[in-house]
Amino acid sequence: MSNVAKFWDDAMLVAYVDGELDAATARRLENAIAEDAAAQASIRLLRESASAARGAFVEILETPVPAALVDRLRGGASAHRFPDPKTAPSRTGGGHAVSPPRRPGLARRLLPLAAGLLLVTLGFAGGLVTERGENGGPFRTASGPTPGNPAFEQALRDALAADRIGARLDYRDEANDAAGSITLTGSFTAGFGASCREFRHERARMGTASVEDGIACRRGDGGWEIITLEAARG
Amino acid sequence: MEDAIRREMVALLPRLRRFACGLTGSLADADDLVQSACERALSRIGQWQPGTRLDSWMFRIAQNLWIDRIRQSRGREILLPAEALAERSVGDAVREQEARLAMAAVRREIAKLPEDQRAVLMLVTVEGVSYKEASEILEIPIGTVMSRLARARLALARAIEGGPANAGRREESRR
Repeated sequence: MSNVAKFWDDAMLVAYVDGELDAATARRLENAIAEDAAAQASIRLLRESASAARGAFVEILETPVPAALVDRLRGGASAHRFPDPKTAPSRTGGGHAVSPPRRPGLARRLLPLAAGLLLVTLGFAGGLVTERGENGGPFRTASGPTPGNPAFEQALRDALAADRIGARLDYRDEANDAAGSITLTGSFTAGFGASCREFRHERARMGTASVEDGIACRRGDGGWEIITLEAARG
Repeated sequence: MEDAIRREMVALLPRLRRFACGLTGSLADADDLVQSACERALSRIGQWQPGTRLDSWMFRIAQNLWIDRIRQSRGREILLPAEALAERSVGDAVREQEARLAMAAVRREIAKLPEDQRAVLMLVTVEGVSYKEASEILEIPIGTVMSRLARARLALARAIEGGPANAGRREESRR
């Protein structure tokens, strides 16, 4: 242990962790706290919480911005109008939302940072899936194998509306020569206080069966969105 | 000119929304705040000085609006609905959704931080603005940015280590 008088505090430690100290001060601090267990512990905490905070908002950034917000900015009284989104080509015809700029690798870059802390086990490379299915409009998923499948979506909507855990709802998907069933398997409250339902989707198509587990959560506007839909494990 | 600013604002929306989400603790409230911030920004578009950062200006507007709302609703519970803060049993849902729930748990812990700490944490740690920029946006000295940030980060880390972010592990059992 050195006899260096303690000249640092938590504020200086956080500035050190964030790279906000000038080089000379940073080196002086490093030397002073090299064998200071308390300071080292604080530095570890300051690093961990930074990773956690960044990781916690990845999915927010990747959630499409509501079209109303964009329209508000685009449709000023004095400004000339941008092309009306209703006349622009629309993939689904549902509620049009603007996706945030894609930042390739953002999730992949951040999540490993948070992994040790958050016990992150999911690969997010497939993209977080958040799209509202409002007023009978389509659900949309980025990674789910059945996007835009009307029979599945209608069945899921019906199952969510009935909201009976354990109840199974069968559907036939004539267009794709397939059939399936949806069973609500659980209910919980997740981030944002959103009410969520777990469901299992069993599907048979051209003789091949598949099972997926998903989560749908209710949005503030009352619509449901599929949060995850992935092949079931085990 | 104004069109260019509007386009830049549209591009900023995802980040502004993320910042607002950190302030308000919910996506619905965040959208509400962002909408108000956009309206205020548009009504004062002449006050923005070209050459300065539009994002900083928008963050400041959002932050000021949020502070106004907190003042107006003093005495009322404003942060998160009680049900969101309550430790619900999420055990049923864990398994592969663990990561998502952990993220939500971290956001909940951030929502519990004092207002002034939360704003600094969101700007510096999540949005990645420098201490100097944060001090300008929030109109506080850099020393205050540092001390608030340190308190926020340490409190958050301790809350996570001790708590709900790991709830999934503890409540592994299923019905």
